[in-house]
Amino acid sequence: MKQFILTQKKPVINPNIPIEADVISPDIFAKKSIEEIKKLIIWRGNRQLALEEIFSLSGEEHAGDSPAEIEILLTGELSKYKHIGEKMSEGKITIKSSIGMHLGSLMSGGKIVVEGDTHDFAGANMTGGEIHIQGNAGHYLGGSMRGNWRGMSGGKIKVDGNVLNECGIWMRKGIIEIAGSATMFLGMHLHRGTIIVHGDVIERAGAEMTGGEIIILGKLHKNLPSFEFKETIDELPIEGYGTIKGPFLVFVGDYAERKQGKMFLLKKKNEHLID
Amino acid sequence: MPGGVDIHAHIAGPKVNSGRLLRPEDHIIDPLKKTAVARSGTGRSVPSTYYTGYAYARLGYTFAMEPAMPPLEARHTHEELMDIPIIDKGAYTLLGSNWFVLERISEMNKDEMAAFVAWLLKASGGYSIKLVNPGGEETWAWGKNVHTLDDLVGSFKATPRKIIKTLAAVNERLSLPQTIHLHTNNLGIPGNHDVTLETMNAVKGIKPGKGRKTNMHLTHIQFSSYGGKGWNDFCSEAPEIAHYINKNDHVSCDVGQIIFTNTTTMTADGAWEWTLRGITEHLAWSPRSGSKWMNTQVELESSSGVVPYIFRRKNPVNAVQWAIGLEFLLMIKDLNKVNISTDHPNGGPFTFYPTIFSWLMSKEARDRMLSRTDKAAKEKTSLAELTREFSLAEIAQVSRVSASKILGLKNKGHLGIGADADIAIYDFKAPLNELNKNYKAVEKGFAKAAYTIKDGELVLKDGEIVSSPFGRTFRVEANIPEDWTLQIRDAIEDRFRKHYTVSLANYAVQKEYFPNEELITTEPR
Ligand SMILES: [Zn+2]
Repeated sequence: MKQFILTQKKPVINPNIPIEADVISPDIFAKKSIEEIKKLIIWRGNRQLALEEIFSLSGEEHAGDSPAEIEILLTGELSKYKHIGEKMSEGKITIKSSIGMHLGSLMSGGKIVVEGDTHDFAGANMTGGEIHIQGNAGHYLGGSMRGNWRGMSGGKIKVDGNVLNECGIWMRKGIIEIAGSATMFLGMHLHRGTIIVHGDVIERAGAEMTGGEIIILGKLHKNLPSFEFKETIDELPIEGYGTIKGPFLVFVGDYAERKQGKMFLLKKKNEHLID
Repeated sequence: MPGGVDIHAHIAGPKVNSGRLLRPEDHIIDPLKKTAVARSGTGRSVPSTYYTGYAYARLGYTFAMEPAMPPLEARHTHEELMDIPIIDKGAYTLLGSNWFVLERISEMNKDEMAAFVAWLLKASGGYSIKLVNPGGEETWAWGKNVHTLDDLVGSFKATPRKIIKTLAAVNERLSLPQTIHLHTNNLGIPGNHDVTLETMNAVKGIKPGKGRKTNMHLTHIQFSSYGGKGWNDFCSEAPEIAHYINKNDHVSCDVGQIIFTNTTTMTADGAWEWTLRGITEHLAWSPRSGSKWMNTQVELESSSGVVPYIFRRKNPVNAVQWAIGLEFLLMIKDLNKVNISTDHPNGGPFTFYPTIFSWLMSKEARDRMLSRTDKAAKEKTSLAELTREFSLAEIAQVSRVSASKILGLKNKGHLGIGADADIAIYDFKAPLNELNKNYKAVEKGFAKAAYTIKDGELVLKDGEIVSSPFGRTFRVEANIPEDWTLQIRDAIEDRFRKHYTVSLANYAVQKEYFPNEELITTEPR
């Protein structure tokens, strides 16, 4: 691996101005010398800045031809940095803090690890690769870009903390696993793919889902009336993940759309939904 | 070549803007960064205004017409036209469901009707009379549609046939530079070729104005040339309609070619857009509940709708639609009668014109696409049998010359005496006599002009914008006798007092909206 360490020189003066940093990606670093990488342009509001004006860079003299061999390490106060790792296809990005919107959106491969939280739209419309968020994620995790009725179509997202609304919206393939809790509209419009939540979910999970599976191991506080309880099963095998011990309550819906979506709710936490 | 002329492209106005709002996911694919001379923008199927001007220049096009402007929304349309750089432009005024026309059609005084149309063209800064699903826009306001030329329109005594004939006659009486520009009834629906033929026949006797033989332009004719009773036996009736056009000299057309891509449909035919939204419920690319959509009614004048749509090679209906557009271009003998359009963005974005050129110049290119489409394109159309290959001169004909003639533009579409210095220079990087075997070079060469010159100024070099002047808005005023207008003034004032949400004084688009204009004045007969 060829490692590049980007350390923010000083905190951003006006934190309200977002920074568009889609150049921070192994695909863009590849085939460039470190001097060329330092000169890559990022946008702060309507101003252009060279990467080296904000970060001190250290690493190999040249990034080499293959993005797969590149690892980027980011440190600083980065919650206003958007589009990091956007469209990346290979390689690795590690972020030592929290990060701004659109992290890894449209990525097709490689891996991103965030040691802090992510803002909205992390992994939106991703088609492959892996994102591991060790803190919490914002809204639209693994969701779709504004207006797009076709969302995440591959890859894997893992969150150690909690997520906010509309996680996995319009998802078509892939897997999202959340160790903590989720708020509203989990897996909205879900078409295919798998979402696993280990914690509690507030309500309206699976709204307008037309396929795919949502697994909730905590308590779903309130279920939509357009889901029907079908049966109880003992355990649940999930492709590419393994088998989870139940028993589970199986709900089918959303009846407001087609009835091909499935929700599996851990029985001992969700008996209030079948009374 | 002279600069390209697009006779029909939805590039400005409220429905275009609605399309922009509806499709953020489409813009994000094609952002345009600002340069020292050009502004930023977003492209794909509903480009921003500046992007539109640059994208036309890149193709070597220097003129485009917005084809569906409700008079009530004329100000918005011209605001956007003003912001489209480089190209010359204009807009057609929607008249096919205007209450004033519908109401007076049965006991029409011909002078009054002509005066009203002339007044409305002037008030809206329009170039031509546009009819969209004549009578259907009004009927749609009541949740219904018209299906034959003789259906009654709402509570009026008007029928589509009467509307078409009346406005065609008025058009020729006013000596307008273009004929009526017509989007047929039943557009998009299987078996609609009957109504299309009947529509052409309906105006046969109307004497064309000075200097031309035509009295009707059928726009995006591909969408009006379908056979079959439903989607299962859906087939092409292009040969039948092309035959009529070959036999008769009173009809011109543009094709409305479809492209296999993700695009945005938009038309004043609100009823059709609603039908199309329903169709998307059954298509794999769309959400199960159908595509997202917008639909609206423009008081006393029109309606409109917007629906995203993806044309797929493997969809039998789409494959047939693709072949029909090419059938027209290859079957119509006199190319003065036909020109290329995609009905941008309905059949696909105008940025795909170079691909159409390559299909026309090379049978090999067509066959290649035929082999990749659903077999319906072979079985239900005659495209596979058509061997014609266009020369560069013929491409020039269907991309600028015909359109200029149909529009009655004396200074466009040629490089002779009196022409504007709008010039496109292409470099195909391949021998010109072998372009039919080198369709990729055709596509590439046309997609990025080597030079585009607008009014003598170099605007584009090697595909890059080098300067960004503003072109002119073309509009038409008919010099009608004053006594014609006097008769209707009270009626117009009354109509506005009673029914419009704007006052008459605020209705007409004022001079400021035409900072650069080319005004064509006509002398009515
Ligand atoms: Zn149109």
